[in-house]
Amino acid sequence: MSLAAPPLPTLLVIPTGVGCAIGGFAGDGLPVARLLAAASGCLITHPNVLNGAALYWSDRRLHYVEGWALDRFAAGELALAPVARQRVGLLLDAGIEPELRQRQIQAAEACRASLGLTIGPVQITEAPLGVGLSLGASGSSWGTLANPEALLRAGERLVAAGATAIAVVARFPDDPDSASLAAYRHGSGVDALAGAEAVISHLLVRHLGIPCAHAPALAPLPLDPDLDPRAAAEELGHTFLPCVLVGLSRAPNLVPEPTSRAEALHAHQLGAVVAPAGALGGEAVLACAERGVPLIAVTGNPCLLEVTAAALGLTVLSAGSYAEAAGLVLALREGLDPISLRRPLPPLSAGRPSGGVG
Amino acid sequence: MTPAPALQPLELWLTPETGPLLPQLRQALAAASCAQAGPSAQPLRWAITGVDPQRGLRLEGVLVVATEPAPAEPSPAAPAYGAIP
Repeated sequence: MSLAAPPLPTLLVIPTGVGCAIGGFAGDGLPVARLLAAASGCLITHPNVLNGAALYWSDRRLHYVEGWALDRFAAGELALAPVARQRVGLLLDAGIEPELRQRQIQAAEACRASLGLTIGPVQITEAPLGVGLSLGASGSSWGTLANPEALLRAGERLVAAGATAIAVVARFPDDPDSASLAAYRHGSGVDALAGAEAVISHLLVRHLGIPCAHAPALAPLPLDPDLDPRAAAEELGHTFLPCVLVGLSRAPNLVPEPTSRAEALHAHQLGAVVAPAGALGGEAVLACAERGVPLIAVTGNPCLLEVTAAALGLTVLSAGSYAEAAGLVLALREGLDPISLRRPLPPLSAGRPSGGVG
Repeated sequence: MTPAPALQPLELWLTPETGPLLPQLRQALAAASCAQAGPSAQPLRWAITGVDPQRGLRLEGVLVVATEPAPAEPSPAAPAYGAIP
């Protein structure tokens, strides 16, 4: 008989394109995800946390859910149904040059040959997608597509051809001399690509209702001896695609609620949500907080936003680090009141519960 | 025929009333989307990105706006997904 407590489904959110010190770069949220997956036994998180270009970590306790679907899951509109494998269709932007396109296809071939993933078919959009990058008033990155129609039509063709998940590669603008790229490679500032990547994958998931994720196609950058370790994963090869293919290969199916599928994960099963203390204003976090899911706010992951629990009137468990957050998740999983782990311990008073989130 | 989509940025400020926040945000986003880009506009991605003592909460997002009719029929395999409420 196992002495371990049952898994505590936990949501980890590290928002994309807002300069998070942990998880704002190239898969540098992965160690945190691995730790929280071990603590919870079941972690649901999004590609921004798990994608490290050629680097990835595959763990059956980790559920790879694109951001739009994650929001719908947290809102109770979608359930997540684990699968043994997905057939990952590859959607390539017609704006990718032939040599760079061939690099993407060879990355997919490598994942078939070396990892045994089921990949294909491949579709090229009928017209270049025309990715544009921008910054919002807050400094967070976002982007747009000149031709979203071409993206959706190519996705439809892939579904019709049997794909059950879609990896998208879009040609992103090269700007090797920009100050923002230099800042990112040196460990500060915002991932300028992330916002546009989210728009692409959100559009496709919303339209098709299947797991999708995005990798940018970019020309190789010149060697930078001062590269920050958190950005290093993106300098290892010709494509950012392997992590996306691995993540999608076992991404859960997205099932509209209500569903009675026994194996599905439902929002009402969530036992905790973990997010940066200054980035609590996203839909998934707010939906969980309003349903009373314990919200663990990590102060040790600063970003360019200051949307805090105090500003939003939320009640949170504060954690100085993800290591502390993992301890809180483990406490919740074991049925311990987190308040009992801190001092001073407030006395009982009539009319209010002893603990819980506080 | 499905309408071809276009994308637009959205920014708005909201001073929330007391009570649950999320329904107020969704209602404000829907109203601002419609005012900016017409009744077909829906928020694709949004978040609260700022807090100001005078103006309240700043929301930034991206809208999907239906434009002219598309040239192709949607795939029958594509499930119809509802709008973000």
